[in-house]
Amino acid sequence: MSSSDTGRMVNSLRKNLLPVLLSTLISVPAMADPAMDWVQKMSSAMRNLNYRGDFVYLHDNQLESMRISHYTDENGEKERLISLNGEAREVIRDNQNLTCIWPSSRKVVVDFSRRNSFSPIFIPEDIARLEKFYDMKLLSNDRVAGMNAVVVHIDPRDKYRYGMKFWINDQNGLMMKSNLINEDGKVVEEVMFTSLKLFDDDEKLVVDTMPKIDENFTLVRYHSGDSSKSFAADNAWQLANAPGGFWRESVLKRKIPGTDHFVQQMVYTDGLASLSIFIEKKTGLSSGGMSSMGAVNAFIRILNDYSVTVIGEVPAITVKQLAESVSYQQQ
Amino acid sequence: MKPLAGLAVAASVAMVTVALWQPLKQESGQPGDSLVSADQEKIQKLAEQQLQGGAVTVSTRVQNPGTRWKVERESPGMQQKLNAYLVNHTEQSNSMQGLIPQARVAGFDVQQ
Repeated sequence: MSSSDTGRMVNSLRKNLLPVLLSTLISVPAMADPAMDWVQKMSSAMRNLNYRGDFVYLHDNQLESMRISHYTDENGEKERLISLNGEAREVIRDNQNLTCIWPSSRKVVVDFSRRNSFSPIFIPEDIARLEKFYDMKLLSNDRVAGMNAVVVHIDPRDKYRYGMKFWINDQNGLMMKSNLINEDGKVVEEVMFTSLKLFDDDEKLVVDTMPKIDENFTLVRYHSGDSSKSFAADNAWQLANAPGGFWRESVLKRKIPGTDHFVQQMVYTDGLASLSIFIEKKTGLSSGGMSSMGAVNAFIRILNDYSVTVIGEVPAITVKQLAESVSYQQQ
Repeated sequence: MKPLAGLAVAASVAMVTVALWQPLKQESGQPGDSLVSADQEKIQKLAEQQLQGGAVTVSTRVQNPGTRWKVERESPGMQQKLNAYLVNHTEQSNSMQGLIPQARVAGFDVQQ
C-alpha cells in the first residue's frame, strides 16, 4: 500500500470517527504513552471548553499581546481573537467563516472555514505513526500564569519538522504555553498565557458581539463568495519526494476573486505538522525563493507557466524539498 | 533551549512602549522612519534595558511597517499573496503546531 493510500484511508477513518470522538469531549481514554495522553487531552480541552485569556505571542523577536475567547455549543466552535497592542485587529471564526477585521484601516477579510474542529483529533493510527517521527516525553512540572502545568516535550527524529513543548494545565487540560523549536534548538515561536479562565454560557455574548462595521469598510474576500461552488481538482499535480510521514490530507481548487484564474491547494500533514502547496498560473512579476515569518516558512518555485508555493509551520528544508518535488504528470 | 526568563515582564514593557511609540511615529511623518528624536531614543533605551538583556526587542512592526515576511526575492504583491496563502493554510490544515494559529493572522500589518 502506498503512503498516499494509507493517508487516504486514515483521512477517511478520521472523518468517520469524528462524531464519535467529539462526543467523548475531554474524557479521552488513557493511552500507553502518558505524554501523548496529555497532548490529546490538551487538544480536546482547547476544542471543547469555554475559555477566555490573554497571551503573549513571540516570533522573529517581535512580541505581541492578544486576547482569545472560545466557546463550543451545539452549533460548533466559535472563537474571537483580538490584538491588544497596535491596531485592534480581530479574527473571528466559527465552523463556517473566518473573518479578519482591521478597524483602523477599515478593512474586512472574509474566508471560508472548512475545518470540522479548530484543533486536531487523534485516532490510534495517528499515535502509532507519530511515534515513528517524534519522541514524546514528560518533563518536570512547571507553573504558568499562577497555575500548575504538565510539560510535554515532543522531539522530532529528523530535520523535516519542528520540536514542540507544551505546558498543559494539570486540572482542565488547557494549553498554557507552547514553544516551536527549530533544528538548532532555538525557539522560533512562543505562545504564553498570562491569564486564562473558564467561563459560563452567559459570557458567550462577548464572543458573539461583532465589532461595528460601516459602509466605509473595504471587504476583501479570499474566495469567490459562493461556498457551495466547488471546482474539480487537477490530479495531475503530484508530489514525488515528500519527507517521510507526510500524507495528503485534502485538496481543493478555488477561483481567485475578480479573476478567471484558479488556485489549487493541497494540504499535507504528519499528524502534528502541516503544510500547504498552492499552485496557480504565474504572473509576469512572479519570482521564486524562500520567505519566512516566525515559525512559518514558504518556498516559491516557478515551474513552467505556474507558480508553486509551499507554506507551513515546518523547517525551511521541508518546504523547499516539497516545492522541488512537485511535478505535473499528464494522465 | 534557552528559556526566555521574565517574558511576562518584558511583554508588559513592550506593550506600553509600543503604545507610546505610535503617536510619536506619526509625528515623524514618514512610515518606516527610524526613531530619531531624543524622547524616542530614551523610550527605546528604557525598553531595551528592561527587556531582560535584549532577549526580546520591542515590536519592529511599529518601526518597519509592512515587513513581516522575510523575503529572499521580493516581488510586487508577494507579501499580500503569502498572507492570503497563510490564512488559507491555517484554515484548511489541522495542525497541532500553534493551537492558536490565528495569532499569526491577527499579527498582520495594516499595510499588508
